[in-house]
Amino acid sequence: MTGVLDFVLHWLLPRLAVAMPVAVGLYYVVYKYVIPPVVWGEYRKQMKQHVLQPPDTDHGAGSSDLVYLSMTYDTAQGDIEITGEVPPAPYWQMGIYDEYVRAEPGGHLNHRTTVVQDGKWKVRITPNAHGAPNTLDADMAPRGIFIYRVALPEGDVPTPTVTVVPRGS
Amino acid sequence: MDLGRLLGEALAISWQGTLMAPVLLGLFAAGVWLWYQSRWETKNPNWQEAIRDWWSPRMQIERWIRFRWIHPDTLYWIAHVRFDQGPLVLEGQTTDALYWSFTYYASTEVNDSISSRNIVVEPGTDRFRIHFAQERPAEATNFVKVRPDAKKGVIYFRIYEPAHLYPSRLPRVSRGGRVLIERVDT
Repeated sequence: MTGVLDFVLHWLLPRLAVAMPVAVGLYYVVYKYVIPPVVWGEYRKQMKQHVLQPPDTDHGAGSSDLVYLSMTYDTAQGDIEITGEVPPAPYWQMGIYDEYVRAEPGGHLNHRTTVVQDGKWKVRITPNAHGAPNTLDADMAPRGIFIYRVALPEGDVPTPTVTVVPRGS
Repeated sequence: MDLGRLLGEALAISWQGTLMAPVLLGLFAAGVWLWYQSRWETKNPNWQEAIRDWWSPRMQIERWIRFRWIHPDTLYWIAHVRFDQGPLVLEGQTTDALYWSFTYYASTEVNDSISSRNIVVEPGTDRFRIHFAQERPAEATNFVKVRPDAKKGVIYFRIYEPAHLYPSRLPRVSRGGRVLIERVDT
């Protein structure tokens, strides 16, 4: 018993006192520098960059009442402009997500908040959104994924087109 | 105790403690995962919502698994259940929202769902019953087919553009007459 107590007091506790703050630091490093590239790598495996496609059926926790189109985006070269037709559905939404799989503030639109002209919409993913209509604010997520969801479509959902608008143009 | 020996001991404690740090992290992660896995249908099963219950440790884990890519227009309620122990029955009332749906996930696959568009309510009421099972029971008016390999998972209740953020009318979940989760307006 004395041996165990001696081991705990004189061997284990001093080392735990060192290990715990180091573990916290290690956790921070993993969260900050390991998780984002790992998540980004998974995104890139599952989706194409700047090309909207349906996700595969093993990922994304999708539902049969929804049509999903997704892609990765990167605003390093410029804003991302997405142009589409209003789908034949009562409800549709779109949003951007960062490398921590978080929904971005100001990064979501739906069938009511998207400005539509002549049955078409044009939305821009930009780090300089400043609350402008039809923008998805990528200030906190310069790269990530874009998901377009259409609920209960009556017919085919037209695939929106994606273009990169170079800075300054 | 001479200074050299003291310094040597301090160094030993430092490098040995540093080596212990990843082990501690691994043990912590394993402990959290075991805790998460052990709580299916055991401890206070209830409905939890992605944003409202974000602080819950279990929901912090679910954020990486089933609440990825949620949309702020929508309420995402889940109940942790087992699909390998018999058919599940949901008994609830219609929800005041643009649109709502139920599905299930054993993992992150894309699954069948049933929605406010096709759920049949009991005549003269706003009540419905939904069966989640591998085969459609004879008495089922609403049915979601569960994959044969589904074991632990969640029933997922999405409410798109709810008329009121809260309360949500959450259905009772039962199996073979035994109530797992009581119906609640929360």
